[in-house]
Amino acid sequence: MNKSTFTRIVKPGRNLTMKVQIIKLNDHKLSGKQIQEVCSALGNHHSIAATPYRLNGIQAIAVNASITVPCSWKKVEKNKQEKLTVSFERSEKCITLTFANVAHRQMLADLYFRNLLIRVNNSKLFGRISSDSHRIFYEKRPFSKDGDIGAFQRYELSDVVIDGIGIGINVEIGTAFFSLKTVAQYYEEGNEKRLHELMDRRALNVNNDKVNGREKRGTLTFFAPKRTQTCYFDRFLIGESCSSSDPKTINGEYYENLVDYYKNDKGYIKPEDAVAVVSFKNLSGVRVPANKLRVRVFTDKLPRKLANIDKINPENRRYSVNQFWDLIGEKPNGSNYQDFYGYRFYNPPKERSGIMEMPGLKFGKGNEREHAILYPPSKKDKKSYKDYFYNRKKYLDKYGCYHVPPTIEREIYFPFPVEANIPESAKEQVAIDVCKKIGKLTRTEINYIISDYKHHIEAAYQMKRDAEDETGMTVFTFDGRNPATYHQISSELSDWGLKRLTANVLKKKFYKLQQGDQRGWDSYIDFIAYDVIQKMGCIPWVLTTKMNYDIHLAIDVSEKFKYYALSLMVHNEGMRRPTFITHIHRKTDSYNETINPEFLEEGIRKIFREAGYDTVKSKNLLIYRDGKDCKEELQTIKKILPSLMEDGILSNDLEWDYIEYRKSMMKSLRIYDSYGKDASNSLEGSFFDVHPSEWSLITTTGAATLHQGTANPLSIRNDFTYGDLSNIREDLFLAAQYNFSNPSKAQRHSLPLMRADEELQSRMAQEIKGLRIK
Amino acid sequence: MNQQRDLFGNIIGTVPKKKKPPKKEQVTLSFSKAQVLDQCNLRYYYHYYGSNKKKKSINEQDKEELWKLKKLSNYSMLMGKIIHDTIEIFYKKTRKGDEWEYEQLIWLATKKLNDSIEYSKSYEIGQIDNLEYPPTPLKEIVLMGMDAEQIREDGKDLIETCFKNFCESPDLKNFYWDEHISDTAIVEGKVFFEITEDVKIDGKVDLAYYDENEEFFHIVDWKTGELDFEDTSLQLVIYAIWANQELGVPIENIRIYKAYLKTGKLDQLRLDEYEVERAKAKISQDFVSRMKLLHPKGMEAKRAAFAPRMEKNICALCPFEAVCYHQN
Repeated sequence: MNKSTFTRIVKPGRNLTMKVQIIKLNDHKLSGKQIQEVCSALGNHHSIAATPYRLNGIQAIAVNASITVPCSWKKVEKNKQEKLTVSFERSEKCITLTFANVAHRQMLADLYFRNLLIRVNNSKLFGRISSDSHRIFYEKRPFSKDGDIGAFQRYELSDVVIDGIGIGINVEIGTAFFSLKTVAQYYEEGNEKRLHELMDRRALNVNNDKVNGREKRGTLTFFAPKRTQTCYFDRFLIGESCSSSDPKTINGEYYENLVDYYKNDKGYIKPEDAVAVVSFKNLSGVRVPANKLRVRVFTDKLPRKLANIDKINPENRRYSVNQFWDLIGEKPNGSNYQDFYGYRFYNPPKERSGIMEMPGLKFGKGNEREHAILYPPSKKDKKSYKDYFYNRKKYLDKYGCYHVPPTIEREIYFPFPVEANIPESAKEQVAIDVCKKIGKLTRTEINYIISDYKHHIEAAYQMKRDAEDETGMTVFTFDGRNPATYHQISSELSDWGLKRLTANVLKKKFYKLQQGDQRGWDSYIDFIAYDVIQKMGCIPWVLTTKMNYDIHLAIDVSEKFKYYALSLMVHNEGMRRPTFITHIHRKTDSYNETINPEFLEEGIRKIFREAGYDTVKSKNLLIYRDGKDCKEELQTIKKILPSLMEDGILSNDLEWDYIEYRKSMMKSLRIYDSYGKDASNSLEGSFFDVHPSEWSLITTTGAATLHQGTANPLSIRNDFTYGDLSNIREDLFLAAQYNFSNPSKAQRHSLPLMRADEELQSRMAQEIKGLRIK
Repeated sequence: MNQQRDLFGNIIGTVPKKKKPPKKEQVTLSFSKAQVLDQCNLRYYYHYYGSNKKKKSINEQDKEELWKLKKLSNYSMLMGKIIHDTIEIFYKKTRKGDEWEYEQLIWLATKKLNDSIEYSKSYEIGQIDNLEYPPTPLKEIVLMGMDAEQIREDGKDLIETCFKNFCESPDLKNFYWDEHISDTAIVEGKVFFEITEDVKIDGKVDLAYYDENEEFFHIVDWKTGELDFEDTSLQLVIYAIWANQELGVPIENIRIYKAYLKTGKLDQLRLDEYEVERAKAKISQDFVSRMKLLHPKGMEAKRAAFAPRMEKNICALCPFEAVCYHQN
C-alpha cells in the first residue's frame, strides 16, 4: 500500500530544464499585476505561455525559446479608464531554467501550468466561466440530472513544486449544479416560485415582482455571446422585451435596446426575448436576456438523488482524473514541453509521508484525580481506528468529563417561541433529555426552566431578571431564518452561554422521534449537550501525550472579512488541563483580509492577559494563521511578543513559531492510499511533506470516520520562522483530537482553530446582508 | 446603602443597593458619516478626526492641510447637493404660493453649478473668503486639472434631465406639489432621534408627507444616479422607523420610495417589521461597533488604525487624496 496523489510529474523530474527567451518590458515601471497581465494577454491572444521573469532586477517575461512571439507590444490596465502600452525588447541570448536552481522552479511550474491551461482551453472540450478562476473547466453536459437540475463535472487544475521530485500538475474533481431551464423558461411556465426556491430567495411579493429574499441573492450564470459569467438576480422585467428595453450608453456608445447592443452577435437573441436585471461583481442593474440565464444551484437545494453526488471517494476521483487526461489525449503538454511520466500519479516516498501516532485520552468522573484512560489504537488499521473513535464517545458517556468547573450552572433556561407552535411535549422532552445528558457527562444535577415567549427580546430580559442579572446558560429556540433575531439575542445575552436551536429542526426531530426514530433524537440531544458542556467550561478529556508547544494561538478572519478571531490554547507542564479562550473582534474594515496591526496588537495583548499566569510559565508558542497575505500580521506579532515579555505576560525566554494554516487551498492537493487498482482514504493523521522542512499536507480526517468523499488535507506552510515541521505537524494533529463537539468522528481542525471558525460562522449567521447605506 | 432592620425596627446592617448597569456609550450616526466609513477608514479619519479643528486628534500633524482639503467636493456629490437644494427651494416657494416652473428650476440649479465651477477655477487650497456662503470647490478642477467646460456641460445635461423628469415624469407626478401633500409635507426635514439605546440618528429626509386620501405616510428619497434595483434601502427604512417612533405612524402605513430623477422612474421599496429589525441590527453591526472601536484611535490621531481602501475609483472621490500617506 502506498500513499498516492492526483499529481502528475513532468519528465525528467528534478532534472527538468527549459531553454527560455527573456523579453524585457520597456518604457514603464510596471507592477507585478501589470506584468502578469502581459503574460495573460500573450496566453489569451496568441496561446503562448509566459511567466514573469524576476531575476537580476530586470522587468521581463520568460517564454519557451522555441516559440516565436508574433507581437512587439501589449496593452495593460493603467487605471480604470486608461490603458498602457508595454513594448517588448527581445534578447538574442536564451537562458536555461533548471529545476535544480531554486529560483527557477516556480517559473518552470508556471510555464508548464499556463501552457497546459491554454491547451485545455483550446481543445474546446470543456466550458469555462470567466468570472471563476481561469484554472476551472466544466463538462458541457450533465453527468446526472434530476428534474430541472443538472450535475456537471468540474476540473480544477493547479501546479505544484515538489522539493527534490519535480514539477507536478494536479487535477481536482468537483461538481457544479445548474438549472436545466433558463430564468425566462421559469417565468414563461408561470413557475417563478420554483426559480426563487432554487435561488434560495424566500416568498414572492407578486405585486411588484420583487422577491422577499432578504439574505441571499440568487446566483446565476449568464451565457453571453463570447463568455460565460457569474451574476446575481435582481428582478425579472415583466412586459419588457429585448426590443423594448431601455436605451443605454456603454463605454461611450449609445444602444437603443438589447437588440441593438447584441446586433453583431447574429442569432444570439430575438426581439421578443424577455429581459431580467442582474448584478455583476462591480456592476449592478444590468439588463440581460433572461433566456441566457441559468441558476447556479447550491447543495442545500438539491433533490435527494443529487444530494451526495459531489462527495467523491478516492477511487471514483482517480477514475475521473484519469478520464480527464484521456480526454486531453497524448502529449498533453504539446511538442515544445516535456511530457509527464508514463505512470499516472505521484506516490510520495516513505521518508516524506506516513501516519502520525494517535494520543491516549484521559476522561474523568468530574474529578481530575480519578480518571480513565482510553489508549491509542493498537494497530494502524481502519477497524482499530474506528473502535478508538467510537470509544471516545463511549468513555465520555461512561466516565464523564475530565474537568467540570465547580461553579457550573445548575439551571438551564429553555425559552421557546409561541408562534412556532412547538408541541408542549417536544419542549419538555428536549429540556429533560438535554439536562439529563449534561448531568451524566458532568456528574452534576442540572435543572431546566422552560418558558414561552412572544418576542425574543422579552425572553432575554426575562431570563436576565430571573437570573438576577447574573450570567447563565440558555438553550434558546428561535426562528433561524432572521439573522436580526439571532443578532439581538446574542447581543442581549453577550455574557451568557447561548446555544441556538431552530424551531423547525426541533419540530422535525421530535416528529421523527414520535415515528420511532429514537437514535436520531438521541444523537440530536447528544450534539446539543456536547456544545452546552463546552460553553459551560467543561473539558471532556485531555491528551496523555504532551504537545511540543505549550501555547497555540490561532488567528482567523471570517468570510467577507467582517470579523477576526483569536483563539488560544495553553497547556504547559505545570497545568492539569488546557485552558481554551476564544475572542471574536469586529474588523474595522472589510476590504482586505489583513487585520489592522493596531487592533491585532490590542487583541493579542487582551487574550494573553486573560490567560494570565499560565502563559508566563509556558516555554513555547505556535501561532497559526488561516489565510493568505499574512506577512504584515507577522510583523505585528514580531513587535508585540517582546513587549508582552517585557510586561511579564509571556516568559522572557519564550520560543515561538509562526505558520500559515490553510483550511482550503487553491492548489487542491490530496493524499490517499493506493494498492493496485484500489484507492481509499488514508487513516486519520496521514501526512505528506511536500517540502521536507517548509510545507506539509495533513489529513486529520480519514478512512475510519469519513464515510463519504475524499479526505481534504490541511496545508501547513512553515517558511516564516525556523520551527521543526514534524513538531508543528504533530501538534496540529494532536490539537485536532479535542473533537469535543462530535466525539466519535475525527475533527479536521485543531480545537483553537475549530472554535475560532465556529464563532466566526456564528457571527456571520447574524450578519444582515443586502441592506446598503444608499 | 439600604438599611436593614430587625422585627422591632433596630438597624442591624445595610444591604448594598444593586448597581445599575452602566449606560451604554452613545453614538450619533449620520448617513454621510456612515457612507464615508463604508468607503474608506482612512478617509473617515481625515474627515472626522484629522481635519477637525476642535479638540479631536490634537496630535495630527497635517491638521491644517486636512482642514483645507475637507472643503473640496466631487462632481457627483456637488450635483446631488445642487439638485436637492433646488428641489427644497421649489417646495418652499410653492408652499408660499410662488410655484416655480421648469425654467426657473433649471436657472437656479445651473447658476449654482456655474458658481461652483467659476469659484473652483481660481480656488487655491486653504483660501479664506469673505463670502457668507462660498460655493463648493470641485476637486476635479482644483486638484485634478479636469476640463471645467466639460464638467459644466455634463452638469447642465444632468440638471435638465433631472428637472424635466421631476416636472413631467408620470411616475413622479404624485410628488409634485398638490393639495394632497401640501399641509403635512416635510421637505429636507431634520431627523434626529434615538433609534436604539446606544445610537442616535442624525439625518435629513428629502420629502415626507401624509396623504389623507390614501392614509399612508410617504417617504421619498431623490436620486440623481442610475437605477440600482435594490430591494430596500437602509436609510429609508431608518426614516420609516423615525416616522413610527417620533410621529406615531404604524409601520404598515408607511411607504418608502426612491425617486430616480435621471430616468424619471419611481421605485417603491420593501418595508415591514422584518426590515425594521434588520435595519437596527445592521446599524449596530456595520457602523456603531466600528465607530466605537475607531473613536479612541481617532482622538489619539493614530492614523495607522485606519486602514486605507486603496482603490483607484474610491481614492479619486476623496478630497484628501493629495495628502494621504498611502498615496505618497
